[in-house]
Amino acid sequence: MEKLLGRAVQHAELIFRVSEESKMLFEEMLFSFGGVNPHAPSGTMCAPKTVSMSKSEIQQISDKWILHSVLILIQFWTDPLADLQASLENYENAPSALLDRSKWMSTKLTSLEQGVLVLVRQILGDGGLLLLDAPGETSDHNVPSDKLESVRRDYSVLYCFRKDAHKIETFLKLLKCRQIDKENCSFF
Amino acid sequence: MLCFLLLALLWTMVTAALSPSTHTAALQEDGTRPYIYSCRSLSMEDFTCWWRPIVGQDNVTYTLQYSIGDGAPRDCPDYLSGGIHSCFFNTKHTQVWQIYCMRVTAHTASGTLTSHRHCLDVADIVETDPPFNLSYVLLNDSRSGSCHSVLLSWMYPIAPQVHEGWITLLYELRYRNLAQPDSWKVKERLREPCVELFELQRGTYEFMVRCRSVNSKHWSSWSESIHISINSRTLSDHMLAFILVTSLGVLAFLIIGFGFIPRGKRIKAFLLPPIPKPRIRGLEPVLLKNGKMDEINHHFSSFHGYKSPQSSMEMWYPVSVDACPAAVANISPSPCKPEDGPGGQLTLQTSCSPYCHSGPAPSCAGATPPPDPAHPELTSVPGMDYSMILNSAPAQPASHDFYTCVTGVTASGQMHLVPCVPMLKNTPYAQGKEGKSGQLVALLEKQMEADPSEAATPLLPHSSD
Repeated sequence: MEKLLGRAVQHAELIFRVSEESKMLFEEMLFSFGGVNPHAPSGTMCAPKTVSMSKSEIQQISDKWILHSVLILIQFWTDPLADLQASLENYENAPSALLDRSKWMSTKLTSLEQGVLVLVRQILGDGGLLLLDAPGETSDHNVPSDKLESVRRDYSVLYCFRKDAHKIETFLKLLKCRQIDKENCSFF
Repeated sequence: MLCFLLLALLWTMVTAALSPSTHTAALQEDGTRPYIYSCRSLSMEDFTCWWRPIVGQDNVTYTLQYSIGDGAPRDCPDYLSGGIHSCFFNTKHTQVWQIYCMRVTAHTASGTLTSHRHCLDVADIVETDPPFNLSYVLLNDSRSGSCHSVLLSWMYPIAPQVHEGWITLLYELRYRNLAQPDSWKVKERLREPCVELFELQRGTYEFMVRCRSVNSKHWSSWSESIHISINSRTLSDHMLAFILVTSLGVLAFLIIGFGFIPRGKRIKAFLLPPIPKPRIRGLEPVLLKNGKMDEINHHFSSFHGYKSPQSSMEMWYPVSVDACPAAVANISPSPCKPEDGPGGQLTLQTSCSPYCHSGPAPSCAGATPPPDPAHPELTSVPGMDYSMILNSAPAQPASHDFYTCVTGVTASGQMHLVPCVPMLKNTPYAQGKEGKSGQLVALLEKQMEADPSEAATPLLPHSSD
């Protein structure tokens, strides 16, 4: 199981790094055309997720909760990334690096989901999946009315996904530490 | 393209509407309003924000209000722990991956002044302490025993968080030789708190290292530097290689000098084989010079049809005076292509000897007597206006009766013909001195005395090619 956790952590690390690069590429694309340096969207743009807590609270939660949160996050982002990819292809001058990365992220997120499901079965047993709530929050599937809305939405997808990718990576690292070295890692 | 420009313009308006605070921050530096200039988190568990006060006014109190996401505004939990004009958020009040937006309000006697809104995500403002306790180990090269590689290691800050995976650190090392203080070398994106440096040149080096969280852009400050001295090597690899190559070169030179030069001639002959001189196997020119007829006969007896000159009588017949054109034609330069010798003299042979370098086997009808006695031949002696008819006597054997050597050609193109000496000495010709035959003999003798070496070289018809 160490290997599986290691691979899950590597996946998450890579996804985070690629999401960071994608966000930067998008910003560069806007900058090169409009001289604009897009700033962080306000709090309303990133949809609030279930898992937003302080470090002390995170230290308290169980492995089950960590896996649960990770799975919810991954399943939340599967569709928006697919929509983002479709939307980017409509841009006239989107760099191919950006298109490739969005495609890559979708693929890797799916394989990470598979890996996490295996981890759930191994750590929580076969009944582990039953304990998970059905993903309540789904992304907004409304087609944006105009180009401006489309750009806003795409940027917020990239911005918020980068944040959640870091979250996924951190949770998986915490989980790995707990599974391998219970004594020295965060207590709960 | 036009569509995209329009898009960009709209985007500008959108971002301006959404985030009014940061891009107008420069306006607040004049001190008329408080201004939040920095927020930092050491370990992504807590963070502190600092603001600049307004100038020119006393008895001003400041309050900070923040909101998380869409939540209700709250007051700063701790104004003291972070120092003056700061707000410290401890672990309980720090929620990672959430957007915090805050404002500072200055309460003055004349009224309140509020700063612009400042928004942040704690994960993006992580700036750790620098690494510390740099140490090194010199690595000895097992072959030469010299030390010019070094293993550097250091301690990293926020060890518990790094250990549990809450924060992942990247390191960057830089070093320089103190002899070139402006030339820094950098090792980037190190993931481990140690690094090996190989093959450092001799000198004293300064090393320092810094770190950052992978999700943050803010590097820590540089650690305290350490100095390491790399000593000179006793014998470097380059020197060894140089010595080896030099000694091999000297050895090769000696071998060539002492081994090849004595055999220079052989080697030269191997590389540039000399053009073989025509010689008959078993027959040395010296043999003929010495004039030992017995030995010559012994050698020649192996040739088909050879008869010792002593065993035959050559007869000279009276010849007519007129120069016969046919004779001249017969004595014309042989189809064996002549070759210019030194001094412009042509040396012609009367038979197809090895000296005929090219062309088909020429029919040198020159002065050789035909084996068939039914075809008399004419010979002429240059310088004399007569030609001779030679006819071998029927009683005599049909081969080799008469040999003539051509010793040279005059300027006018006439040839010097002389009988070959050893045969002449024993023939009756040498004794005949009267008449024209006597003149002939006298001439021949004179030529022999003038150039005996030439006359002494008999030329035989080719027995084999």
